[in-house]
Amino acid sequence: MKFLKILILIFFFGCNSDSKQLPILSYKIDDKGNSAPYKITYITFKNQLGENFSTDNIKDKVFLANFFFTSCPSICPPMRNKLIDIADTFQSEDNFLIVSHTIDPENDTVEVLKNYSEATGISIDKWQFIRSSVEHTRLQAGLFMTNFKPNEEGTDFYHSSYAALVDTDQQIRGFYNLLVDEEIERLKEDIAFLLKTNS
Amino acid sequence: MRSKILKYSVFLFIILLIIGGIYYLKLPNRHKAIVKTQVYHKLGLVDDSWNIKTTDSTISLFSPTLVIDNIYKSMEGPKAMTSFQIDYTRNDLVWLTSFETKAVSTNEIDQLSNDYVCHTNIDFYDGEHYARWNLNNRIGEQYPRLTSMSNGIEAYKLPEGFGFPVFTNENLFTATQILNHNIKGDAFTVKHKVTLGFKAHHPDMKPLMSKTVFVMLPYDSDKPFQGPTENNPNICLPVETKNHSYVDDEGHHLSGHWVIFKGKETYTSDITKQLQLKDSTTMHQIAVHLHPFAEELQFRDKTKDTTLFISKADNYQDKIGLKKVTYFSSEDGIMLYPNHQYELVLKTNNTTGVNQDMMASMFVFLYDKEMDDKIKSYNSNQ
Repeated sequence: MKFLKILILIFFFGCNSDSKQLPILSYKIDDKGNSAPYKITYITFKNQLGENFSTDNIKDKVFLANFFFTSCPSICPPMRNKLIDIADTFQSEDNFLIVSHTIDPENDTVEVLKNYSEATGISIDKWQFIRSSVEHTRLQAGLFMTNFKPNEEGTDFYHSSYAALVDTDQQIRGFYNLLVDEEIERLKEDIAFLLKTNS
Repeated sequence: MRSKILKYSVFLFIILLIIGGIYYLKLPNRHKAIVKTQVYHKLGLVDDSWNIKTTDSTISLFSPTLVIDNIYKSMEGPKAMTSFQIDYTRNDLVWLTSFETKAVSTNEIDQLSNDYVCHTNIDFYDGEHYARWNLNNRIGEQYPRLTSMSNGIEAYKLPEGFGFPVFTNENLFTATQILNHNIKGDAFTVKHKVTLGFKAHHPDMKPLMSKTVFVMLPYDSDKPFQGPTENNPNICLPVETKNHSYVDDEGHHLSGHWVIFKGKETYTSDITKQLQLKDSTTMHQIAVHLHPFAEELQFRDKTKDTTLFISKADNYQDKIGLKKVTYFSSEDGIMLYPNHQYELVLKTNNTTGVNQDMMASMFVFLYDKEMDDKIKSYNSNQ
């Protein structure tokens, strides 16, 4: 069934890929007003097994990145369900990966992330949960054009419901609100497009 | 054996159908509209796709077909949403300068009554928008609503020389919802046409930032649907406690969507925190969202005890609806100060014999000096 879903998506984009393009969105305008493109890289992160997670882990992969924390009471549970659906849809695609960055490394230890990961039922080669210091995570959020901060009561964090889609050249190609069903459909189409065309 | 399985399956199917039917019938009108719209679109009974047309200066988005089969008050009707980019193949800086929404027939040509427009929201993705300009501290500061058009105020332009800067491949988002206060009988179909006007980048353009301010009224969180009582007359009766409900710093529960009773009423709500002014700046545009039976919405400077702008709402006399709602637009602008307190004052008059619902928001456009400095630097390099 999952294989059929992805086959339909890839077939659909096989028919439409001539006209479709995705913009390259990973650039910033520097202090001198120049557009400065950049690539996504990783240092100092560890995954849910305590193994290093580096740029090598995303090499030649199309991947989806989001920010979350395991005790999040608000937007993370519905985001998690959508990501499980996406992981299921692209289960047979070896070159597709989901990377979820915890913004609460103090509480989201390797063990907590491992338990959280296992509860999703998705294998680690498809969905990595990673942690680093708050400082490094904030820098990484900057690369993904987002940020996070504790709310005023200190019981929750502001963090975005958007996920970034990154191509095999480590460039951001799209942003998608994981809480909107229509956006999930667009995301699936764009993942299939990048997996097929790598362009 | 087979006939037994068949019998039990049919029985189970009928039970599920009855449970589903009872569940559906108990849903509020708003949720029924969501279910029905999904069914119409998923079964292909009506067009479920967005049609987007772009010119050198406009982008028009035609919504999927929406079916009107009932009375739909504000926030209840069928709705559709989509993300879009002005032109994903280019990375040009442009300036959004005008906004329009209207109801059209399913041929996407013939205009219908704007009585079928509840509201059309335009949002941006603040992460992408601000991170490009290295303004990361703004991400998550406020809900990234650019503006909204609604019944009575379906089109407006920003003042000459002002705009909201976006790149053509930047993600924007629209959500549009049906309204129908008056027409009962056979179902009919409409689309919404949402048009944003934009201009090519010019160094003389001044950037505006958008802030949403709205009336919020306290309610009793223990007995939210009891409404005002003799002992507690200064609370509202919220329409619901899930959406448009907020908790302030002192733990008071507030609603931005509440019930108004027969007769005249005045509501006041402090908006200083919603404005989040860090520096003095000028206000150049105010778009307004009101519901029928609103008469006026004032933007006031509490500190100086002055009224800065009054939006007047003209209600139809022969049916329910807003004929016209006035908005503010000025090249000179009005000065706002971070050490002043501001408030909205809403006057309503429910002329019917039944309770009605109310919302009152202003989409305020302020001169954005920080962005202007960034764009000046960008100018010198393009």
